[in-house]
Amino acid sequence: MPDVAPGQQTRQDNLFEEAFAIYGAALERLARAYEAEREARRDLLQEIHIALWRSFAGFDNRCSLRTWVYRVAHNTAASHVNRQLRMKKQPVVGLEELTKMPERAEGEEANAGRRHSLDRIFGMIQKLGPLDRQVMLAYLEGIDAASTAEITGLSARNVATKIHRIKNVLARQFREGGRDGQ
Amino acid sequence: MDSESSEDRRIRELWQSQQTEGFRMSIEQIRVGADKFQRKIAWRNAREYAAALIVVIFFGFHFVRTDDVLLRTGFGLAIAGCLYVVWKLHSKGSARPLPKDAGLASSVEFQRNELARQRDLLKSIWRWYLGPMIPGLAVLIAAMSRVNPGHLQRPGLFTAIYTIAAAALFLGIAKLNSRAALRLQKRIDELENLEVDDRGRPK
Repeated sequence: MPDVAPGQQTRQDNLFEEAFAIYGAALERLARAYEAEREARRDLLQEIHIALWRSFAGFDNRCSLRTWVYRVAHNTAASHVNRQLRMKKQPVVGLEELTKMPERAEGEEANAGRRHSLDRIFGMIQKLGPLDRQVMLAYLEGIDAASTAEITGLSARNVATKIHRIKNVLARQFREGGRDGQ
Repeated sequence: MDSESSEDRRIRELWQSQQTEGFRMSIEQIRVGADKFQRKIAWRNAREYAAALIVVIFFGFHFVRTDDVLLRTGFGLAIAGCLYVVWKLHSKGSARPLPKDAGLASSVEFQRNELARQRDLLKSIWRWYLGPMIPGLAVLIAAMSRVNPGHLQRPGLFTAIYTIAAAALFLGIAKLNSRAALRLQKRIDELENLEVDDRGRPK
């Protein structure tokens, strides 16, 4: 930890402030995608903030701020999930399995509200393994395929295949009349 | 993102416009939190060593109480073996905070490194876990059969049975670890395949 007087800002602090101002909300959505329960989510978010702040001591512009932030956040969250998996032994599914899941049940409200639609998305994300989850989150955040490949380390072709599957899964869930989320 | 349909946009808009809590930590809170987090990790590791501590206390108790040199040597070697295992576990396999250069590693690289670390630990189990326990165990088995001959009608048989049982146990543990290492290697290979670029070369 750098030895600084109270109130004194270091480059590390400034980078953190900048990253938080731009990606604070996205990090919260990311934490929500990894942890459904509120208290555990706050713990994860704290862990991400601390990891991010620590990491900025070594940030040297070799990649963009966005790539750095998402890598640190996802790597922290993946470690968190791996710990949980070891404790709870929760099964994960791949995107392939997700495409085979049943569509919206018969009779279910086609125009259920935004909350319900978001819950469905969260339900899908939380079933996925870390890499599929990261690609899905990047897609939802509007990050392009090339940047997703840079963040995750997957090949561009793999990212494209995964995004194609994600689109199919989401389309199956939200297809009916385009009334969800309105 | 290519070929974006209105449905894609609608889903992404729904995702990005969701209400957030506005959670934030001040720099001071983060500094304090970083220290607390380090302590939490240290405590988590310490709990994992509790079992080893119990074994050390047990052997230590008998080490002090016995007058027999061979038994004392056995207990001493067993304690040393146990401490060596704990040290290795701590330096190689313990939970640790994310490295400071975590932003340089892509997710695949990060996961691959973590899995490789666990695989190497499992693969080298003879060197850091089973091997260091053997001298203490061997001396203890030999000492037990010698120290209490009245209780044992056939000390040779006692030694043989315990040696075979210990060997079977160690080989079983090694086999289980070797299988687990193979499973991890499979996951590492899968991750490496995901990294291969479209021209079939590693990225």
